[in-house]
Formats: sequence, C-alpha cells, structure tokens
Amino acid sequence: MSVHPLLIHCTRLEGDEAFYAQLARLAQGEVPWERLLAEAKAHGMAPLLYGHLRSIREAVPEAAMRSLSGLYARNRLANRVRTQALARVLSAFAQEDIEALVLKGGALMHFLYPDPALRPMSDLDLLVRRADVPRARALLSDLGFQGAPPQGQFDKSLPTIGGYIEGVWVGIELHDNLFERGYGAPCPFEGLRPPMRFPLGANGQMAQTLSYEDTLWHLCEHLRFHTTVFLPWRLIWVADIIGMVERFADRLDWDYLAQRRRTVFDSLALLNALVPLPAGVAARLGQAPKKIAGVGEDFGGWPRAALAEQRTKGWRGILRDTLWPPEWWLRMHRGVPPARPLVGARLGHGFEIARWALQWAGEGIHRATRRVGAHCTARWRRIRRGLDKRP
Amino acid sequence: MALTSDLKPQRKPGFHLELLDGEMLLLHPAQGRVLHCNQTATLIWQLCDGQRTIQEIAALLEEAYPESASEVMRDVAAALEAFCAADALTFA
Repeated sequence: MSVHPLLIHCTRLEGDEAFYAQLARLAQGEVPWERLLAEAKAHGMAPLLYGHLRSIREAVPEAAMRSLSGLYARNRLANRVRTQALARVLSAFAQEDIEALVLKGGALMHFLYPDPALRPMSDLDLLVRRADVPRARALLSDLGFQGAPPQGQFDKSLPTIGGYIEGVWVGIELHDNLFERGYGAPCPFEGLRPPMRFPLGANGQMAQTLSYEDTLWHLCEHLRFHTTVFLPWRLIWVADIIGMVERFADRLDWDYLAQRRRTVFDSLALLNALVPLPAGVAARLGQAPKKIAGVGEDFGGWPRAALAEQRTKGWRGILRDTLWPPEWWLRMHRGVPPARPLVGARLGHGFEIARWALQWAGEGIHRATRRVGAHCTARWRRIRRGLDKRP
Repeated sequence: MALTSDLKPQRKPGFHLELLDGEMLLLHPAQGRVLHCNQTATLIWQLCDGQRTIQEIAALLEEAYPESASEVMRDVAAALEAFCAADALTFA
C-alpha cells in the first residue's frame, strides 16, 4: 500500500536538471501506468504529475499523457473559474468590511505553485471572524452561492455552500476557526500572526492568507489531522508542505516556529523520510536521523476497509494490518516524531481501534434491536387485529 | 441515432474548449468528460450552433480545405459521432 516512487518524486513543485534526469530514469523503469494514474488522481497529484511529465514526454506512454492532459486541463479551467469567483467574493466582502483569509488550495495555487492549474481542490476555504459569519453567509447567498455540495463531498466546519459557474462546481467553505471540530485547540482569526498578501491571478487584485509560518503550521496540522484510520492521506498535502519549505525557507521565522509551532518540526522530520528536505531545513529539525519503517505506506486495516473487502488476507492479516499499522503512518497519525519511542502510540492505536469497534458493535446492536422491535410490534398489531375481529 | 445531412447539430451547454500544448480538449467539468480534438473536430464543434445543417458544415469545411474535400464528409461524420458519444450535442 505504498505510493509509487515516481509519484513521490513529483511532490516537488519545481525541478532542476538532476530532478528531471531522475524522473526520466523512474519513468523508463517498469511503471504500472494505469495504477499510477489512479493513484495520482486519488492523491490529488494528477495535474502536478502532468506538469512534470510534460518535460520528459518522450519517456511516457502516449495514453498516459492523454489521460493526464485531460485532468490537467479540467483543473486549469476549474481553477480559473474558482479564481474569478473568489475575486468577486473578496470584493463583496471588502465592501462590507469583512476581512477574510484564503486558506489552503485557493491561496497556495497563486502564491506557492508555479502554475495555478497544478493544485486541485474541492472547495475554496475562507477564514472570517466569528462575528462576521452571518453577514458573510448572507453576502455569499446574495452572490448566488446557495446550493449544497454535490453528493459525495464531505461536509465539515460550517456547511459548504456554492453553485455551478460555467459548469464548474464552486464551493465555498466558511471557517470561523482554522481547525475543524475535533481538533485539540481552537484557533480563531484573532490567534494568528499578521496575514500575508498575494496577487489573485493576473488582474492585480490582492487577497490575504495566513502568514508563511501559520500556513506551514496549518498545512502540517491538516496533514496530521487527516491521517486517520478512516480516510487516506493525500500526497498533494505533502507537496504543499515540501513546496513551502523549499520555496520560503529563507523567509520563514524558524525561531517563532520553534517557540510557538513546535509540532511543525515533528511533521517535517517525518516528511523528510519520505521526500528529503533541503539540507538547511533538515539541519533545523534537530532530530537525529532515524530509520523509519514503512515510509509512505498507508493504513490498510479495519475500519478503513470493510472486513468483507479484506477477506483474502485471512483473520491474521486483518488483525496485523488493523492493530499493527506501518510505523511512518502511525507516527504521522499520532504526531510522534522519529526520535520518540512508539510504544505509547502503538497502545493508543489499539485503544482507538477498540473504541471504534465498540462503537461499531453498539450501532450494530442498536440497529438489530430496532429491527427486532419493529418486527415484534408489527406482529403484535397483526395478532391484535386478529383478536379484535373474533366474534 | 442515425446522422442525416439535414440535421442541425447544436452544442450542449457546460462544454468548454481548452487549448493545451497545441491540442484542443473539449471538457465538461461537471461530468468529468474529456475529448481530445484535432483541428478539424475543433472547427466542427464551433460550427455546431443549431443553425447550420450537417451538409452546410461539410460545405464550409470543403471550402476551407479544398485539397482534402473528399475526406471532409467522413471527418464530419466521425467528429459528430464522437461528440454524440460524449453526449455533447442536441439536434434540431
């Protein structure tokens, strides 16, 4: 269940001659292209993969390039439409004195990625002050963002609203807190460093996002928080982080991060095992390099996959994958840096699985009791009707 | 459906043409459809406005490419079939 090395290689946003020479070597090896494309799509990496592979086009099968070019073109169109919508929303907010910070993809595609089409996203995330949420929602509604997201999209924080513009779903997720419910500590607008401004596309309009330090912290926490037993982590989140430290290493206030956002270093130390960070950044991590097992591997046990889907593994295989996940994944999931022992995390993971199993069993019993209850009630009614009809 | 030369094909809404690395792509972002188009197919797509018949579209292409007039009708039919397969056209 590990990601293909070619895809991991492409998490760098920009490459030099050596990068592309290595990419060509990887592409000329035995690459299961169909599987790689499916993996790239699942990890949100298809446009970035295309962006890199177009430089070594002759080493890539034509069919793979055609599939990727379609995905890239779709994302380019979608991001163009999203950017226009975002510009409209931010102008309307500014007129009403609502300060908004653009989070994640909506900002990263403009200030971090060399080409905005390379960063896919499902929605635009905007952070506003809690007091401004009702006015911001009303304004969005006035601008035509009223629809619920298409089926299959996960709703989080405040409900996503949006609409189709030129056939593209533009969803807007308003946040009054940097992190979702369930995250340890709240972090509203007021708890952040002064925001950073960036140009929103070519029309000269400026937008605001988190400071470099808060962006890096947010991305690291987002990756850790979304590395769960239910959903797979995505390589595009790693690409965001690698891009931040490669491009802005000199501008980041590392002392501030060390004092206030210490967990960034733990995440970077784990990512360093997957994609080697620049020497200057790696030296700052202050953690002795340690061999980590299962780098890049995902959790493959229950509840990620239903028991029926894992039947071929046998019960031993299911138990092993469920209770003994890959070290790298477990460290990321439970925020344990490479230098710290893993015993507590292994125990904690066992308890977490036990908790989900109990909840699952409880829900099963509840459903079964309701079914039996409904059955008994129906039967009793039939008996009563029969009794009533007797002379 | 059988394509007859008196039908007037019209582009369905929601489709976009995107030029990428010298190739034209017909996209439907909401439905996730992508069609790779050559130059002739791109022209045919742009001519499908619900006003012109298939015969008129072919005539315009024959005028534009007199050297390959013999292949035009075949190209038009192939392109329209591909657009139909992608559910990109309606016919009047």
